[in-house]
Amino acid sequence: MGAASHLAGRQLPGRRSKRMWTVIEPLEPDNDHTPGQFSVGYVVESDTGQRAFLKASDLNLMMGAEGGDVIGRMQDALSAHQFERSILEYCRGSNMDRVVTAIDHGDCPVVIDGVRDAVFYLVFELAKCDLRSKIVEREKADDLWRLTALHHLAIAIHQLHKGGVCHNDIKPANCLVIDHSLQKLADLGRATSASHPAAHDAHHDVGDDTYAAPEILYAQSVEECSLLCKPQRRRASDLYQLGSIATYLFMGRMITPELVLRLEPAHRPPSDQNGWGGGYASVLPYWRHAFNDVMIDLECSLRTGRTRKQFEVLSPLLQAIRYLSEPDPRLRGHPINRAGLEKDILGLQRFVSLFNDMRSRLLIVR
Amino acid sequence: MQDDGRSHVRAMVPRWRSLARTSRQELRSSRRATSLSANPSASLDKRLLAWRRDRSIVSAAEVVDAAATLGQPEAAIGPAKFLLDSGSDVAGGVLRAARRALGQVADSTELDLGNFGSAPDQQVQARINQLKDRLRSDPRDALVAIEIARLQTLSGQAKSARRYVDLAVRLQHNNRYILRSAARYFTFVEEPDLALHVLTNSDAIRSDPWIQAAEVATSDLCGKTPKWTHKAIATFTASTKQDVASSELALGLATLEHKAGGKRKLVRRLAENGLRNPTENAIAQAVWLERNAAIDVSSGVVLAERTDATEALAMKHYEDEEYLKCTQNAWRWVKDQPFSPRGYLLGACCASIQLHDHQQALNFCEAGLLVHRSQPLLLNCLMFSQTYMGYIHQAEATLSRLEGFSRDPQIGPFVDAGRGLLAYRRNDIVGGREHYLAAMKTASVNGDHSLALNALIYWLEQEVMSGSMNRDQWYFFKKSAQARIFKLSKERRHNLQRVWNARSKHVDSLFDRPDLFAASPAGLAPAASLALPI
Repeated sequence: MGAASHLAGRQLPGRRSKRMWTVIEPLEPDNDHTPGQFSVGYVVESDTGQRAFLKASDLNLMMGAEGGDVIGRMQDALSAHQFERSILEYCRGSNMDRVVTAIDHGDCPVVIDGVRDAVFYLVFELAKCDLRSKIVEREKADDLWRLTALHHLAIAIHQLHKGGVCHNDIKPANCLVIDHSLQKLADLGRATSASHPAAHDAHHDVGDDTYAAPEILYAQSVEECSLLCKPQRRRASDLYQLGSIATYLFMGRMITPELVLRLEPAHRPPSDQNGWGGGYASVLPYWRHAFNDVMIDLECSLRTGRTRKQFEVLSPLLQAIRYLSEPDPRLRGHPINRAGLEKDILGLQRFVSLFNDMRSRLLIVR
Repeated sequence: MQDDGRSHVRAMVPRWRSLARTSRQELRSSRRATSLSANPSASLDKRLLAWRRDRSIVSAAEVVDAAATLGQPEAAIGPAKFLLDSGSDVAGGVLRAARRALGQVADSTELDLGNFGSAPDQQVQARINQLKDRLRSDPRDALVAIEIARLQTLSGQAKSARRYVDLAVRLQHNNRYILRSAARYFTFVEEPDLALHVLTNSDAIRSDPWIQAAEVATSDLCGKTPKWTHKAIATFTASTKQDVASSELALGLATLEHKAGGKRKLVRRLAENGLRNPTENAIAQAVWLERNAAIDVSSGVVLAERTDATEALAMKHYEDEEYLKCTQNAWRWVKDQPFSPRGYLLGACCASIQLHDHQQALNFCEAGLLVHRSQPLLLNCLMFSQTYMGYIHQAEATLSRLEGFSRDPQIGPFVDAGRGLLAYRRNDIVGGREHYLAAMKTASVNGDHSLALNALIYWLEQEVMSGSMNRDQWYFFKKSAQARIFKLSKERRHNLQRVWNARSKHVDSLFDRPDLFAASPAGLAPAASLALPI
């Protein structure tokens, strides 16, 4: 175990704020399941009394498992840390108020049991919880809260895309509830941006594959993979995941795992000789068919326990999810944008407005 | 009543089932799956670690998700059970996913077409409407389009189905399921050229043996040579190891070789290769080939292990004179494959001729005519059964439908025989004789001696039943008919002999029950004085 795992009670200097951060207690063991992320979370408090979340890493954690190319892994991890820091700075500078940006960052040497180690850290605003604990457990969120969360997350992705950043890892664990009425999108560790090159830029599957868009899961050839690394395809993948989050908010299920469970084993994503080996284009009709099954179930979920008027307010969500999570990545996005009436065919502005409008209408019929 | 559905030339036309009932092997990708990720289960491992450390609803739900996406369903079992035990605290969608992960959820959207023959039309129509609504929500769902087409075809709306077949093919012109379904549809509506066009226009035909098998069958129906034949024959004869994907292609090629008068050794070798890991369609083709190409590929051994091979089983039981089992399997066959009239015909003929179960024969015909609305041989069987059941008015109505085909030289003798049968039932023996003699004459003129003899068999039965033929005359004709049957070719004799055996046995038994005889009308010329046109 490296120094990053033994920071409780220590004081760490913040480079940007010039404040000292006192480490209060470790958070739950790493809830970040993105492959290649190695960090430990803590609750910290500044000398001005502000509580925050500190994500710390050290060389030991960065080295990861034993064996292999240790130097290469350390280099990757250090550049990943550097990348996350710089992209967070960029988002902060671009006033992306729905994205969790770093309050502070720093690095310092720490001596544990007489052994000197270096610790790197990023300090974020402290969230109450993430979407999972609100949605997976019954009756923790009402429709207004869900629509507000969706609206905020759509704004977050819209802000990122406008800034030329693709998140690539939108999932419930990265959707943080800062306070009851404010949700933000966190974890830009797997983001990509033309202005911020990163080691993972060349990988098509940078985010958590459990919730990844289907074209990522089924990619089988080098050509397919390199196509998916293009910014427009990465943005399309973000749109898919926004639609998936919308489904999660109202059905409790992300689209990818829900849909995979409905597919025949032969049509599931490739894994160790099983699943579909023919690439995404050839499995698309089966995926689309199962996607429509999920949409039918979502409609049932929306009808259940709601008045007709409430359902009428929520029903545009079904079409919005169809546009966002359209199985064919080339067809994703709002049809008006896609028809060429807007410059940006993957623009989210219309969805942001729709979710806001739905929210307002729900307030009236509630 | 002549055609028992086995004497047709069988082509290896693809099966058309709903997606849920299509064999898993047929739906598999032709390429082997490979994971490009260096550590594909990393995110599942992390979640499992989190689940072991903290058994919460959130961590359990995350494991269920990761296990599903990453193709490791066994990892989800414990967490899914935990979620179900936590019941009331868990969101409904998560609970459903847990049940699905444990295999406790069956898709209820699938209409049980296993019972299509008896499914009320309303139920099928409701399902079609439901699917049309669904297609309106997503007009790109080719699988819904083809399912609408399938249900419409099954409910006798084959013309309306065309639009949906075209749509499905336009949307997915390389998808195996869509292409094979479209090929089956176009074959059903007797447009094999279009089936061939759809298949040959796809890229899949270059490498997919399932599509190549469909091409072989449809090319054969169009009288054309399939494009990929020679290459495929070379592959199959060189290899002794075949997978299920190639079984239909191998049997299709064997059939093609047999029809082209190819060497029996090559036909046998192709058939044997196709039977190494066969689909039920391939087994049925092998059974047909064994009988028609006089080869032995031990299909019975394969058949013994395959209860799903309903067509092959029905044919095999007929060969083995196990008629009850034959009708049972014919029912299973038509429920699985209602697009082929052969199952209905075999079932109806077997029930009627061999088992004298006219009610069951009538049921076969009525079920068959729901799908094959203008199938003349089914109409002929129906009329026969109705007559024997005593439903003369219905039989007359059926005959008038059959008369619509009287210009068809193949069907003409059936129409005449039908008229004759009904004339005898109306006690119009002279008229009956005229019609039966006309049937025999037309069939003879067409060169179909087997059909002419068939008409003779039924005419003799009607003569005995009407009381116009005594036992001595019957024995005379019986001997004469048997001699004529012996003169037929081996294959035709094989078919007709069974009918003759069953019917002559039936007539023999009539002499023991004089109550069944009608009184012979006075002044009627003896049957022996008639000049038979065969």
